[in-house]
Amino acid sequence: MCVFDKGDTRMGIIRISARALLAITVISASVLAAGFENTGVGIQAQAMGGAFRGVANDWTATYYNPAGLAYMTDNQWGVESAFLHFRDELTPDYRYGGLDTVTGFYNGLAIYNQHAVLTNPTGGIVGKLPILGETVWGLSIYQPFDQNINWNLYQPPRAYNDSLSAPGQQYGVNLDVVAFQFTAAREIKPGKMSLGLGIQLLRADLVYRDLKFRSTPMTTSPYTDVPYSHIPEFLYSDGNGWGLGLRAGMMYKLNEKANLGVTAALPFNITVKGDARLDFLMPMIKSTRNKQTDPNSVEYLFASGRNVSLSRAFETKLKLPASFGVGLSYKVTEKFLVALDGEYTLWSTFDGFDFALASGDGLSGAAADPSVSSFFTSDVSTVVDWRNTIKAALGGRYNVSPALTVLAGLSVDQGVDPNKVGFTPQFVDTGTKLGFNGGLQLHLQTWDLGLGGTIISNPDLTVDRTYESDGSLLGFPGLYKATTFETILSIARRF
Amino acid sequence: MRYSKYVIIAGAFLTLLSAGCSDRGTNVPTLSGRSSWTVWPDFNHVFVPAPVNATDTLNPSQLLMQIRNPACLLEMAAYIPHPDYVPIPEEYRNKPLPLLVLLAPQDADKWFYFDHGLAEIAYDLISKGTIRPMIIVTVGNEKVFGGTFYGNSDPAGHMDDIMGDLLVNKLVDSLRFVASWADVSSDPQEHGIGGVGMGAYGAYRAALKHPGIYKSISAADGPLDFDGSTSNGGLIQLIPQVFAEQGLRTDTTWDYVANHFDTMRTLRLSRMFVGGSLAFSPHDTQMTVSVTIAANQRRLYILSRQQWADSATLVSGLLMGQDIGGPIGSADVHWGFHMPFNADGSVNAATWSRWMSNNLDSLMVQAGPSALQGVSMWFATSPQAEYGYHDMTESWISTLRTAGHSPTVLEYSGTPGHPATGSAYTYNLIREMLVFHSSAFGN
Repeated sequence: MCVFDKGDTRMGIIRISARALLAITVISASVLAAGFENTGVGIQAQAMGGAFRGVANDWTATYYNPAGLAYMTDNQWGVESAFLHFRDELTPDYRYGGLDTVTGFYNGLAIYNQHAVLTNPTGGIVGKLPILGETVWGLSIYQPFDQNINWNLYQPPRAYNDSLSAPGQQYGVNLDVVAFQFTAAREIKPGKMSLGLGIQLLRADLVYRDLKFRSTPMTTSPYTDVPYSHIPEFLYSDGNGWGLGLRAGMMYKLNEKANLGVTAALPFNITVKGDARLDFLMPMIKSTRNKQTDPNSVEYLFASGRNVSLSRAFETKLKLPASFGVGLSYKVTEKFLVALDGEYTLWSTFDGFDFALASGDGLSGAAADPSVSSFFTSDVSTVVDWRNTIKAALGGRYNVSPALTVLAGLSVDQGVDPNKVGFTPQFVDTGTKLGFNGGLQLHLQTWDLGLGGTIISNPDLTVDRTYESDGSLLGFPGLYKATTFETILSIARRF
Repeated sequence: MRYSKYVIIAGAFLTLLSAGCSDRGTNVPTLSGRSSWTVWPDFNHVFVPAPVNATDTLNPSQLLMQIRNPACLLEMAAYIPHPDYVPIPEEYRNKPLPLLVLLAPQDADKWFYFDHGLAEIAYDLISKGTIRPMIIVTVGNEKVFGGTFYGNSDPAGHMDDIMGDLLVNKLVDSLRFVASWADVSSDPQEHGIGGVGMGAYGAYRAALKHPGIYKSISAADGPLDFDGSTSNGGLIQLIPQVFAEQGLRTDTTWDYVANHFDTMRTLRLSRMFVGGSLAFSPHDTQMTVSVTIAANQRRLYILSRQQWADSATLVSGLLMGQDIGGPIGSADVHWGFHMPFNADGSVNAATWSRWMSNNLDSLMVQAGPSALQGVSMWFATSPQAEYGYHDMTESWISTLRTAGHSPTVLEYSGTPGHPATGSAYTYNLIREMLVFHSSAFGN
């Protein structure tokens, strides 16, 4: 027997939702870390903090819950563009040992990432075609994964090499994974349950910049001494690849007011192939160099201050994480809807990049000497130890009038790297993040115009120095701060 | 205007987001000029009295008889900040510059500190105002055997004669002739000395042999107490390693040991003992020579030589000196020396006592209690230092403290996989040394 009236029911749902979000937040704060997943797709979904699996009522359902398409009464197309700004800060603490060292990094100085407002366009169309009866079909293009950040953090110390400069933006990544998704959805139990399945063709484009410090192959002083003991190797790689993925969902109408959505995303590994350039900035040890009588000797090369460049084809595996989500939506009134989402992403799948370099020529002079050639041609890897993450979102939608909808949301997203193993500036994920979202939708006849924004606040993170067996540093130690701003403009039309 | 408030909200929202997208720049410091035109690198000096006439006779003096050093050169390099290239603070412009002498460790030459970033570090610290502008003269170690402890003997060179006021006065007087802008301070308070490894020993030896010349000493792990903290450690505990390095057993005869001893460059411990033997226990204890100049060439003639009678630890015939020869029949240029151990690897008391008379604590007793009075002292030491130098350094620090001195001590370690052995972190230590000396020089 029901003991609550309608008002009590609403308040009860709000209380339960708030407690659930609080519980997930507490769990999030105590567990693991998030990665390079896109912040979302669609003005409604993003403005509601991503709490959209139980709603999924527009063309962006292809991303959040394909099963939602089955309940769409109109055909629809839509496009949007998100403008993203990573506003990060890193105060390096890159030192060898406890001594006050000039390593070339801007230790103790707050450095900002390269300014860039990133554009992230998305589009899709859904409709009922005279194929397989009431099946709704959709075609969409969006980016499920996206990361773009660049840093300028290093110049060689004068004592290391006072004649050459490091290339700009030594640390950076521009990773775009675009999904071309073909989706089908239909009701299984009319008015009660629907299923949807999207088949994705994934295109990955990767530009990766990195700076590694390689232990010198030389065995005598001064080559083995600081600052010559570790030689900077600049990696620039540019490649792409294709892969497949699946995105499936189920929508279940609990009652007239409540929907339950369950989703799964299964992207498969993508092999990225392309070209890599390696630049080794050699030490300049002037007097040692001048003592060498043979300018083609290995000893001369490692004191010469030269730049040794090498171009190679490369191949690396992009291991994208699967994710599972569940969402609940509830119409509190005819005008007001609340939604709660949870997502579990298997970020432990991603273990960084291992750039396997093709064999071949390219070395000349002393660099080709068998005693050191492998130093210049070794594969380059960036190893991370990420954990699976939980994201929770709470969103609300209020129809102010037939022409105007107000949206708001809050999200909590764990960081992918709680152990901070191999933490690098390419993926500044400092821990449990809070997302604050809001937006407006203007409905003009068959047109929907949207404006939304997101601010994601990251906790400050100090990454301590961890040394590898050869004395080089694992990851990049320092103090990280990060805030992300995003603005979304969208337009859609029902037909 | 029913939507005006929403338009206002949207406008405020966009304004907030656009503010979050403003360009902050990167905060990366602007690169300054990367020229290192701040150094006068080569400043070798001849250290031997010139003969008065063709039949001049004198005892071997300074570097006259140093092995394989026919030019009698003390090889030096100098960092001299040029006011046009180094941003010297106004208060120090047109004023004499303090002098710091840095002694190279074993197997290192005058470029050792430059090879570890001295010029660039000095430029960096001076230009930032962290240290006073100063002249830094780097002295190379003996070249043939990788170093002779900056000791005092015919084959090692009479460094005790050089490393005091003779050197400082020569630098004060003559540096301006090689670098016109160089003006070395003659104030002893602004004279410092330092070194790494064997150079650290040399720095203290110079200060003890010449009290009052250097008012600040910096030293990083070296053979600062020959018998270590236990009186049975230090260099003594290295003797088995010397045998192992040479591939020698301890059940042979001394002749076998002497005839199979090698001084190749990779045998660093053995070279250290050979260098020490040439400095502290040479076979020739006193030599009289004559010097002539003929056809622009110096000719040396050995007139007489006194040699240590002991033969139990003598290594002879291994080392060839300079080609002196001559008609007097004393042309035996083979330098003999006595090792401080016996054929079975045990310490030879007689030779060891000659070494110990050169130990720093002995030199301090010889110099008297006031020798290091008013001298600022700085040490860097690491438990990872090679050859047990950490223990020897700690022992010497303890001796100094017992004598009432208060040296500053920096204890440090390397990183995993890159321990603080040899000169692995000299680059870092140079920075600390310069800061210390600058502070000791005062304003």
